[in-house]
Amino acid sequence: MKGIAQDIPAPLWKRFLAYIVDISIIGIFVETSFIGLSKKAFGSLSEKTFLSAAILEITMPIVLMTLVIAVLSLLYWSILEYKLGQSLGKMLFKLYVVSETEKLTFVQTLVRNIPKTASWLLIIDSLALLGYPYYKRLTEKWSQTYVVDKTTKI
Amino acid sequence: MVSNIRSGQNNKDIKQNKFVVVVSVLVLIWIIGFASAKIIGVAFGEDLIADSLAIVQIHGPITIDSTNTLTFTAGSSSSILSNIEKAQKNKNIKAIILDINSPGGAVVASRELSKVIKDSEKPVVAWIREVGASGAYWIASSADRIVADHLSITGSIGVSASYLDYSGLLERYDISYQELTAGSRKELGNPLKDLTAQERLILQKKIDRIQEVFIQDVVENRGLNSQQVAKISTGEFYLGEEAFQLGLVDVFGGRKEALAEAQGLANLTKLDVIEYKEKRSILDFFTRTTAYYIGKGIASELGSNRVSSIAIKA
Repeated sequence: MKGIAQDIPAPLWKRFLAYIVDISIIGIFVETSFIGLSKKAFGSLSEKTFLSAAILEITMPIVLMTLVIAVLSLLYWSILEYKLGQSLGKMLFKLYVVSETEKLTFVQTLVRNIPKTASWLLIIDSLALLGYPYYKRLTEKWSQTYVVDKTTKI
Repeated sequence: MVSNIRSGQNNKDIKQNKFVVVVSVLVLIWIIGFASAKIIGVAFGEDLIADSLAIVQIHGPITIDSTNTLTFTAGSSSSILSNIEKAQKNKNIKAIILDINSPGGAVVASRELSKVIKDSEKPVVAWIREVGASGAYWIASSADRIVADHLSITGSIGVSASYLDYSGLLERYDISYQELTAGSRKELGNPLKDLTAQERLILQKKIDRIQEVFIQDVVENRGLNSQQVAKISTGEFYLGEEAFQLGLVDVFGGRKEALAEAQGLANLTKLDVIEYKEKRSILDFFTRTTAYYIGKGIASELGSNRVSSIAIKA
C-alpha cells in the first residue's frame, strides 16, 4: 500500500490501543501454548513471590521460549501488515500502514515491527515518535513507512 | 446501479479475503507456537526447573499395583517408586518431600519404598497429613525428618493378617469342599476350611517375624531404643502430639513446615516446587475403572485357586 498525499497520520492514542489489542491476541494465540512450560520453568507461583520468579536462573528453555514468542509476534504483525496493510488491532481502529516509496514490502514490515519483540526495544524505538513528523518511530523512519488513520477527515 | 452492485461485491470479496488472511495467520502462529512448546518441553523437560523441591504423593492404601477407581484410590509402590526415581535422577531437584496420606498396606510394597528412601542421596522429608500409619509410617520412618500435624494419625506399628472364613457357610448349606494337595501346608489360609491350631501358630510366627523386621527398621531409621520401640509397637495408632513425645515425629506442621524443613536440609535459598503425581487421563480413568471391576469379578471367581486368601498388611 503506497501512501497518498491526503493520508492523515494516526493519532498516538489509537496506535497505542491497537497495540494493546494486538498483544492481547498474541497472548491468546502464542503465549497460551507455553503456559505448561512456563509453569514448570517458574515453579508453583503460590509457593514464591513474582520477584523470585523474575530472578530465576535463565536456562536454555527459557531463552528458547522467549525467542519463539518473539519470532511469532514478529510474524503476526509483519504478515498481516504486508498482506492487508493492517494488523487486527489496527483493523479495529481503521489504521493502515503505508509505504513512502513503492508498494509496501515484507522487508519493510519486518523492519518496522522488530522492536515489538521486546518491550525495552519498543520503548527506545518509540522515543522517536516525539521527534519525527507523522508520529514515526525510529524503525518506521528506517523502513520508510508510517501509519495513517482512514477515519479522520480534514 | 450496476457499478453499485459491483462495488458491493468487491467489498464483500475484500472482506472475505481479509478474513481468510487473518484466520490463516492466527492458525499458523498457533500451530508453530504449540509445536515449539512441545519440542522445547521434550528436549529440555529436565532443565526447565531451577533448583527445586519435589513433592511425591503417597495417597491411599499402599499396593504393589495401582487400583484407582471413582471411589477408591490406592498408591501403587511401582508408580510411587517411579516418581521417586524421577526426582532422584533430576539434577535440579535438591530434596524430596513425601506427601503421605495413607493407612499403610502391603508389606513388601511398604518396605520396598522404605528402602529406596533410606538409600536416597537427596534429603527426604515425610509430611504426614491426615493419616500416615502402619506401612505408611514404615516409609515415613526412613525419611530424614517427619512432619505431622498435632492431630495426624500415625504410628500403628503392627502387622495384621486376615481372611474371610467361609467354612461355616458351606456347612450350613451342606456343601463340602474337596481338594487334593501334595504338601501338608498347601491348604494354609484357604477360606473354605477352618484354621487348625497348628496352622494358626505357623501364621502367627510369620506375622511376628514381619513385625520384628518392621520394629527393627523403625529403630534403625529413627535412631530409637529397640526396647522402647518394641514397647510402643502394639499396633496402636498415635496422634501427632503423642507420636512427637515418643520420638516418632520430628516437627509439627503442614506443607509450609515440610517445605521449610526440606529447604533447610537442601540449603536452598529459593523455594521452587515441582509435584509428582500419578498421571491420569480421562481414558485412563475409564479403563482403570472398568478394569478394576472386571478384575474384581475375576478375582472373586478365582479366589479359591489362589496360593492363600490371607491378606497381610502393615
